Amino acid sequence: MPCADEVWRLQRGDDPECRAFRAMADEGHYRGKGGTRQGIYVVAPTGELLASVNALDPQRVLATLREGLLAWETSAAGTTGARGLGGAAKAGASPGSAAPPRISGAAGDEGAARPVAPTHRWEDSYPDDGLALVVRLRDLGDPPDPHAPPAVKWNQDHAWWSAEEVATCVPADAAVGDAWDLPAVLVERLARFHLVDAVVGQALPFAPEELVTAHLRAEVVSADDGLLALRLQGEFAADADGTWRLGENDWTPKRPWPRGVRWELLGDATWDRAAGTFTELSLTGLGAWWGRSQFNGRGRAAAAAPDGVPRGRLGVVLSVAPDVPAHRVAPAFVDLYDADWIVRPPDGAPRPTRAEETPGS
Amino acid sequence: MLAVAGGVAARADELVPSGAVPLTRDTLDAWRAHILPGADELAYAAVPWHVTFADGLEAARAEGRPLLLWAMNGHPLGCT
Repeated sequence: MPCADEVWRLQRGDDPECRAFRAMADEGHYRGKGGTRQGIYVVAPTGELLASVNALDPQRVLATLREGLLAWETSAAGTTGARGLGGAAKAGASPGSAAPPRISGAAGDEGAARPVAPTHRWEDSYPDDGLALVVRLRDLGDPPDPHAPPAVKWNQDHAWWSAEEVATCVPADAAVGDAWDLPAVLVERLARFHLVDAVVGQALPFAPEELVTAHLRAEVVSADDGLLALRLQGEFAADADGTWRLGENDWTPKRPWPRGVRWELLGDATWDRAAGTFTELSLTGLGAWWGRSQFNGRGRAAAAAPDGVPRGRLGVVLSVAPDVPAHRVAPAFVDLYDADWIVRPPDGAPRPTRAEETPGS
Repeated sequence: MLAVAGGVAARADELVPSGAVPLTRDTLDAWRAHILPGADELAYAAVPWHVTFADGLEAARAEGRPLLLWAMNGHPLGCT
């Protein structure tokens, strides 16, 4: 049963889902409590660990999956040899023990049911009636050439707007030939949280005062049957001197990270007058980045830069996200969105920031 | 523009691709195809992932099968 999830919340949250994750993962490859729990886990339906690893080598991952399946099959068959991995060990077995490990949780095993329902997920704020974009970023070569083989590094994120926010994007009486600047709620969210250098890893967002230019213009090129065809053109620029201007939160860095981006974008969209929303939207951008942040994977570029300031080029494509579970995953910076429709988790005790908790950064 | 970043940022301006193949209506499709991931890069997306640990565990229990959990800083199906 395949499953993917964000580990930061799981390893520090305080609800049944997070606690169940930690009870399992604390038996895994990192052992002990605290620190990152990134990795691949094979888990019994009871929530008990069967095997785990954090590796980029596919052969190591494959070996771990096989190890987990062997532990599962062995325990399910009621034989010994589940090798004392977390789940089996908790179930009362040890390697070579005469008593077989029993990992419950097969269909119909009512004794296995334990509540793991989360009390808060950012995905619960998914804007069903609004706009969800998938944002794809890729490094560009030098010189950039769309006909050359693409760079290997790419990443993606999602961007959300509520129905009320989207409804402000196109005037009710817009007609062919009309042109206007799209509203700040659309443009600034794009600029601050999504047009960032997150190709290789998670970047930091920009504060409003760090935006140099944030401009996206729409023009109606045709109208047919209640649908408006729009052309989009935009320019974005942001520079951060490294001073953190977004308060104390999960993203607060330990040190200044000067950085910036430049973007030119072109695209098209279709607006449904009756629904008051975009039915199609595609925006392509070419850009440049300078500087870096703690987790965005530009450390080698910084070390190679003569002045210590890495620079490079990147591209972006934004398009309407398919309404499928994999594209209902929350935006990376959803907790910093300036939107009252985003449901926040209940306040808890102060917890370490990502920068404080992640070693070796 | 923030003064302390100004010098470096000015050099970043020069990096925006505008040379041999600038972004225009004529090149838009080519750039879009270049930036978007290809089918081989999206092979992982063909897997019917559950997108939360709780949902995955619930499904594993319902079917009596073990769970494969991929957990990363940043959701593996989002920005990681």
